[in-house]
Amino acid sequence: MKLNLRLSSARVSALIFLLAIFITPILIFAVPKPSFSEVENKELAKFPTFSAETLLNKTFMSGFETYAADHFPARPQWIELQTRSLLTIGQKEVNGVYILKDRLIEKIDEPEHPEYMANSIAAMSKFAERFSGSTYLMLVPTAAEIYRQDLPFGAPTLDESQVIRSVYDSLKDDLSTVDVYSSMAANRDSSIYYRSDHHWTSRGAYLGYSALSNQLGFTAIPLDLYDIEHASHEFRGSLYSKVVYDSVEADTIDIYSYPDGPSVTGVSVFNGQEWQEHDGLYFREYLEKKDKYATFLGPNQPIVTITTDCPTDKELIVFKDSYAHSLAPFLAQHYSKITLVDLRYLVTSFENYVDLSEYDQALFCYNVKNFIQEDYVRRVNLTAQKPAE
Amino acid sequence: MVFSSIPFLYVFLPVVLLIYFLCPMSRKNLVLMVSGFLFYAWGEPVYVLLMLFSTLLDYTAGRVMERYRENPKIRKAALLTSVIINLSLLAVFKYSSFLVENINALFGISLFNPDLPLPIGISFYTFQSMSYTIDLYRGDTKMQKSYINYAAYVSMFPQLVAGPIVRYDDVAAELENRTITLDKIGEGAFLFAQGFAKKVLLANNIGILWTNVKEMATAGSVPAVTAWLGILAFTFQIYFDFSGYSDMARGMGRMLGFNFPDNFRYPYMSKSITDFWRRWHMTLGSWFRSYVYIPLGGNRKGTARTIRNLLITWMLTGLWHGASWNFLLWGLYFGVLLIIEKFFLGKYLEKLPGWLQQTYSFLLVVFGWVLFEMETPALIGGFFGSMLGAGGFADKYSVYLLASYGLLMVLCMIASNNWVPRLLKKAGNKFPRVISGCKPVYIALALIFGTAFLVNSTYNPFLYFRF
Repeated sequence: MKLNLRLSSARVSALIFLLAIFITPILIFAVPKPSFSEVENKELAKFPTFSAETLLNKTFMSGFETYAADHFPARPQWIELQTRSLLTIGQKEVNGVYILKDRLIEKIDEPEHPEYMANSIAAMSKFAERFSGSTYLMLVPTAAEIYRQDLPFGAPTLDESQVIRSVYDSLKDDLSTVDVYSSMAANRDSSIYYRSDHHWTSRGAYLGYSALSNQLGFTAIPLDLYDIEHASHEFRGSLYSKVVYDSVEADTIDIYSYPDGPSVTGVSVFNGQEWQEHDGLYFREYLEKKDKYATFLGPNQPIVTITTDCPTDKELIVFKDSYAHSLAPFLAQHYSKITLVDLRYLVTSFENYVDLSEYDQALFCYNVKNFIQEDYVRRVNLTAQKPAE
Repeated sequence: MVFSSIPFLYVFLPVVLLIYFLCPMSRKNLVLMVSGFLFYAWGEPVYVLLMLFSTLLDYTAGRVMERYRENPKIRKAALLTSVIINLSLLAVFKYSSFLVENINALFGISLFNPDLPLPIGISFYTFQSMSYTIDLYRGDTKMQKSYINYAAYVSMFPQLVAGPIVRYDDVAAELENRTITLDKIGEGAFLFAQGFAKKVLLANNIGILWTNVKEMATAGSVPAVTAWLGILAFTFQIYFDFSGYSDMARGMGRMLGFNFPDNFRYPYMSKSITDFWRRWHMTLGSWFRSYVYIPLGGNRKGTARTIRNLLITWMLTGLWHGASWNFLLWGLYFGVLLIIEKFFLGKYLEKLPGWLQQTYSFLLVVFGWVLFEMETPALIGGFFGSMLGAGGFADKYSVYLLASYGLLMVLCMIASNNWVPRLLKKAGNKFPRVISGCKPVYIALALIFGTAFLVNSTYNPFLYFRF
């Protein structure tokens, strides 16, 4: 018996190993999975096409590798184990997210392509020159900047106030710049960013709205006149998805409404192929889904047009990222029409779909991260009716 | 395909093992050959033809040598053909653009630079394949009659792309006949799990630290603490990555019924540089000793010749790691250190206390990694400057790195010493059941945590793409 036990250690080892490597592939390939991961909020990779071409250029191999990783059984739980292990050995950052006691913060890296920022600056100047109305720029800092002092000691993070200052300085003769940084910094304790998502909250967006009011020429409605509806208390956002870490409290989705204001008469969304009509600014079906931020005008789409019964003929066009989605409901109280253009999702000129001459004001509204890391703003000057580069 | 990846561990390996175990012995080598070629084609769908050519060439050279064993001229011609063609393949695919660049720079001309992408593992498999023809010529091994057996040896997936460099003679007997038992599979699983944990849990995670520091150090000087943390991180990364690969290879070899040679033996515990190279990438060192240093005359022809032979061997060893001046420098650095130890320092070194010898050796190895990682003299100089404080002592970021990676660094230090195995061995004498019962638990834990780090891995590099 004694002798046997010693031998069986190797045998048990063999069995454990063989079981693990034989059962896992069955779970990867044979167990059906949805094509969309709710927890991670991402489309799972499809099985790659098998052909001589995809074999030779290795896209089959890389596609297969992504497929196997995406369809790995209990994928979110594995990521959670990774996060917890890293935290245990003293890491402060996991998968690009700083994990603090009370919130998750996306790490913002130094720009990899400094020329993108220059391109965007040049593009905005050029646009301001050709646009008949007035042009504005509002760069919104991310949570990493506003909560800089809460980050782990010495954690590297981009100096976003410096980025905003230098962009604004190089543009001041061409268009009006809007400072939202100071009010965000002053209100850092009022839940202006989600704890588990990279967006600002409705409260944060309200600060953006009041910062815009002075320059765009309307009077912001005071905060205490709004009815606030806590539409969901179970929002776990994009940062949660990256680390699957639930020790940070879930977020609340707040919907602000001003009962005495004008009402929205139409929301049309252009998805790149066709226009679709929606009932209002809030896509409440997303309250039941993972990405609850999409309650605000849905996921990113190339163009969204909002019309209201506001007694004015002022029209605004906004070139934006998703931060503008929770900002738009506030702005809608002061314009008869607002058009949101997401240049990231348009390869041809937006003017193929929008008549720019209708508009009185144009606003570029981006968070600092998207502004420095992406190179899409220059598409604002594409010539209509021609495909992009 | 790297071993430490989901497609390898959970698709390729189970499929191949299943077929391999179910096949009769007479077909097992065929399974090895086909799976080896498929494994290689996964990463190199075109260059797999090169490997096919290389194996056919050396197999044929072997047949010719055997057929004309009475005719020394033909034997020699067959050997030379094999060696020259193998080395030419290396020269063309690995060294041509380095050569052309330097010739162009030297003479101010612009010869065409082919700039071919390097076939993965070419240095490993051409060296393996050459060991066969050379040993056969010397009469140190027997001819392999079956192409399948020969190709199975060269293309065997465990050791194909990152070593250990298994010599033909090491496995000649096992190629013909070997037994596969559940016990061997268990031992192999333990070795594999150990290598898997080294690579995925230690190397990949500490490697991120070096990646960050290297990026900063390439752009300018960094504070001393940051520089030291960075190069220590690389020191551990390359060891756990490389020895992890070897462990995985040896573990899978064991499962398949082979005994591959040991490749690393706690190199960071070395007491001299001479000792280090007996413990680091041992199969490469012994390859160069058998096929370069000793044929050159080794140490048998006087001091001057010995020094020359050492320098040649170590320049080549350096260049084997990549076609670039810094690798040559890295090789020479060790060549010179070995010469100094051999003729002068060695006898004094032995008189020092053990911990001082270890510190001496470890520091020199760490300095070596600076040469290995930094490509130009300016960067090398800059980095040594940073280590000596040219960029200040420490800044906030150094503190951040220390807080984030300090514990991992300590774990790496413990794992690169033989302290734990020694303790376990002692405990094993007292409580044999408990300790042997721990092995399956270790395997399970290594697989579970390793998998967690693979499922969402953003950093899982293959460090030997230049070898």
